[in-house]
Amino acid sequence: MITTRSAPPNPFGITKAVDLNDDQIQSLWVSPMAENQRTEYARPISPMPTFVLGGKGSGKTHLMRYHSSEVQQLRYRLGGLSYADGVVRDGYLGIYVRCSGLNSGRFKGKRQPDEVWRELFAYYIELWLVQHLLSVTRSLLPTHQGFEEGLCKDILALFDKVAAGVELTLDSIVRFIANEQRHLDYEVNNCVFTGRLQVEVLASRGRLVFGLPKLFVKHCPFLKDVLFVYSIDEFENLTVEQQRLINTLVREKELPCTLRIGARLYGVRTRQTDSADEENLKDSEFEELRIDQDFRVHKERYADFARQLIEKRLVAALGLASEKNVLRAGDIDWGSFFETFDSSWNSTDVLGLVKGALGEDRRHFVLFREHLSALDIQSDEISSLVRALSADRYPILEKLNILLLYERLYRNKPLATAAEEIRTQCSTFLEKPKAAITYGRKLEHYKGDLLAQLRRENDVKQAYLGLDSFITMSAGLPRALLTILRSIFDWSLFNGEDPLRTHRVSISAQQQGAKAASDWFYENMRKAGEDGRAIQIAVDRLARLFRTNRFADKPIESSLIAFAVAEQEAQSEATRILGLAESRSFIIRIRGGQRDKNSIQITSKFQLSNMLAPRWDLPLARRGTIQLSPTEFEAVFDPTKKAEFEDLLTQHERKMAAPHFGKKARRKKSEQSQQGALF
Amino acid sequence: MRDYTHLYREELRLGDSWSDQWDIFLSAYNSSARVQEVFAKAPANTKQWLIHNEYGYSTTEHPTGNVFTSAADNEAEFIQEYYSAHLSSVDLASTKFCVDVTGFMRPHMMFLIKLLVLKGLKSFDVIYTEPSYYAKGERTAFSLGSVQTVRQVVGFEGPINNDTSRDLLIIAAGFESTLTAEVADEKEMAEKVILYGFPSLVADMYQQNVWNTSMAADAIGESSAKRVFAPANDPFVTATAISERVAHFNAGGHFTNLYLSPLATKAQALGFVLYYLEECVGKSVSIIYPFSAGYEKETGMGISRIWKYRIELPVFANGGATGGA
Repeated sequence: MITTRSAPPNPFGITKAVDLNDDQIQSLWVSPMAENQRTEYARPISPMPTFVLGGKGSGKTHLMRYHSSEVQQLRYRLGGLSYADGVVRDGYLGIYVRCSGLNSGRFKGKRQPDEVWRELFAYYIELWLVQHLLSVTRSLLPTHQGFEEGLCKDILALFDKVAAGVELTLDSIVRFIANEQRHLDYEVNNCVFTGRLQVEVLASRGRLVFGLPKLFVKHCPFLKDVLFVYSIDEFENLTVEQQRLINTLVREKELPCTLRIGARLYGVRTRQTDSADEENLKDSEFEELRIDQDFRVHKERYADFARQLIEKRLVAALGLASEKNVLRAGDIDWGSFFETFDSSWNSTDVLGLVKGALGEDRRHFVLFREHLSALDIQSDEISSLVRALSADRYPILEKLNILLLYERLYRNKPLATAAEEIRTQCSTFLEKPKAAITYGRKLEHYKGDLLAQLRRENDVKQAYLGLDSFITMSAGLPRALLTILRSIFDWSLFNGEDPLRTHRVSISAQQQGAKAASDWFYENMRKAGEDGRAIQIAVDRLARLFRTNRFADKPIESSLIAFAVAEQEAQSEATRILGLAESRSFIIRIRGGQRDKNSIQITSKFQLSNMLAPRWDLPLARRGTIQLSPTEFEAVFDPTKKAEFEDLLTQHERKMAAPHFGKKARRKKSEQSQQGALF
Repeated sequence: MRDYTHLYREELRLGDSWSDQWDIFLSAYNSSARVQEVFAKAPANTKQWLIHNEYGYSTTEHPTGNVFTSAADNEAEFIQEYYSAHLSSVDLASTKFCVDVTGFMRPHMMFLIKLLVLKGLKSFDVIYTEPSYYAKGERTAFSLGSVQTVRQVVGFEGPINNDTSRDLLIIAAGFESTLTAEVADEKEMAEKVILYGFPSLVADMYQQNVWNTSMAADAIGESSAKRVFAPANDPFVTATAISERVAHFNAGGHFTNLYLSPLATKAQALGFVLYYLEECVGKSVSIIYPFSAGYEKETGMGISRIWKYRIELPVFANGGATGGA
């Protein structure tokens, strides 16, 4: 156990990058990319414009702020470098802005034509960006008079017209531009009362944004290899027309400038530009970085990232130190932080789930008896079957044996013979696990679901335990991971533990925390209003479908949290809701899709976010996939199709429920003729 | 800071005779008894109904009498059309004007007041009627459909300060946590202050309000949000509380941009308007609002108390409610 020096605040209390100050952005930074990954942010000096996309909490803002001039300066100070030396060394200067600060909604309506708003907004953006640019470059530039005059003359030449009284000083130019913006604000805000917009556009599009950096390089040769990076965050706050303008800047960018655009998954409304209505093409005009998607693909990298992220939090909040006095993720014994549950088939933890019950008193055998009684099988015959399927010390094997028997029952095999076969397989497995290949494979496939059933049957809460589980659960969203850990830490304190210091975090706190984080995700990631409710209805239905499978007597698929559908054949409202759920990270698209078993068609494949698993007791691991027909898909995703969904769920339940498995009720044994009994 | 509590308010009763005789009484129609009965009772030479599109009434559902409708979907265009149709020839400076804000859309109410003041109205009365209870308790939803946008209310758009390091957002949190969350999300970086209606209109509404707002804790940033209290039915204490809170904030460094979002009662929204017009015009201060597709026609049940607020601010007398450049 690692030791600490102070009382424990919650190290994961702040989960949003916007709540971090610049110092924290710097000190809590972990690179999301491996050194060898060829992405823009691994080499921020790339001139290629980049769209940084990701779900809420994927780390976009942290990434963009880390590369902002404010945090750059902080790094240089810590490293003993001057601002200028640091920028020259790094080869870039980040000009970070947020679109929410623009209040862009005011650039429309008010009895003015759209074309006027387009032009005004373009001019406004020009003024807005160069003010940010000037504010971060001022202290980089030399201060002697001759230099300033020369630069200022050139800057003023970029304007079509300059108001009287502007002097050849940067201060004067900054005031001039600020006044221009303020005048524009006034006109835009008051035209609704005055009925007119008295604005002169003094610079054409891009002239200042791309022109000023060129002048800086011209007048300051030490900046010749420095890239001026406009990092525009919260792109989703702009309207389609306004996004077109930014897209146009992306398309027409001029060195030494480039742009990074941060947006949520649903945030890019258009790729169109004002350059002859052309669309920007990915990998031609811009690159795209999808943070959470990349994290999900590069699982190992994400796990490393997550551990380092946690390590930074622990060091910052608790002052944790390893024996070497340098704490690295690799130094930490993560197992020592969290109480664990050994889910091996032969573990005593699993045996403990049945709470000392033996033989037919175990819940799974009680249910088994109930099912077979419905077929009018005699009590002593059932007892005989139970004996054949029993493995006293290994309840998970008993569950598997029952499942295997149900599979044979489904195929109308004689049960006594089947039970003997299963007993033999089980015995072989117990003697030489590697020799019972089929049995072992079946166990591997269904172990998670059977364990979940064992827990439920014995009134034990489902377990989402240990850091690896939490990392999987977060599905590439670092904020989700921090929220899980925050909740667990809070529950641990609430339960009277001293988490991460003198006590491990109990199983109970982990269960409570994971469930709370899952509920948080469900409530907070959705869109407000009717669409938000539609997303929740769809997710709720899908999860119920998966849960029914997980706890069924004979599941159709193992570890089911995925579905496939031929999207192009589906009805538009259901497809729209699917799109909304995907953009809000409730549903994750699995790249490559899958081939339909009944045709050669490649269908789209999706999974429910792992963050939602605890809410419905679902598995974290994805194994099986259910193919939804267009009708079934609509029943799940179209909120108006409640009755259709309930029918679908009932059908699924019946198919998987012993003893009939959706077939017409078998005749009871007492009614059977000579065609052969079950025994 | 300024104190607005010297302004006059009076409780009216449906059973009493009202001493006022207004030249114009304006109300926004909806299905609540508290709107319709007050309209019937109000002594006025001219009574006018506004029909907000957001309620979704069909023509056959409109009340009889002097009804104004417009297809305009923007608060400014809607109110300007109303003004052109009914008030442009009226000498507002000498008109006894009363507006019942109970059924109003908040952005429309705000824009109306700003426009009328700009057009010369020096003082006027505002009526707000409390419900006995809300139809579905703490689960009452007022808005319909998704929030389409969070934006500044026209007329309450301050100039933008590019420095956002000390942005402040004050939300009068209503029952709908999703609206609170949308606004808080829109101004993620701002320090948040939640203004609660306390005392609330009815005793348990405060608890319901706090409970609902806790649903938006993630967006608000629970640990950093400060709380302020003002009576749910008192615009003057509300304006004073905002003024006080902002002064307190400024003591630690002046705000860079201030955003105000009145999502609670219309009486509190009126307090936001008063504060804005009196103290914020020409500054980097904006009122922002989460605009939804529609609104419920009837949420409040019964009639509790009817308030008349006398609005007369120094800034109105100076005609100073224009945005200063």
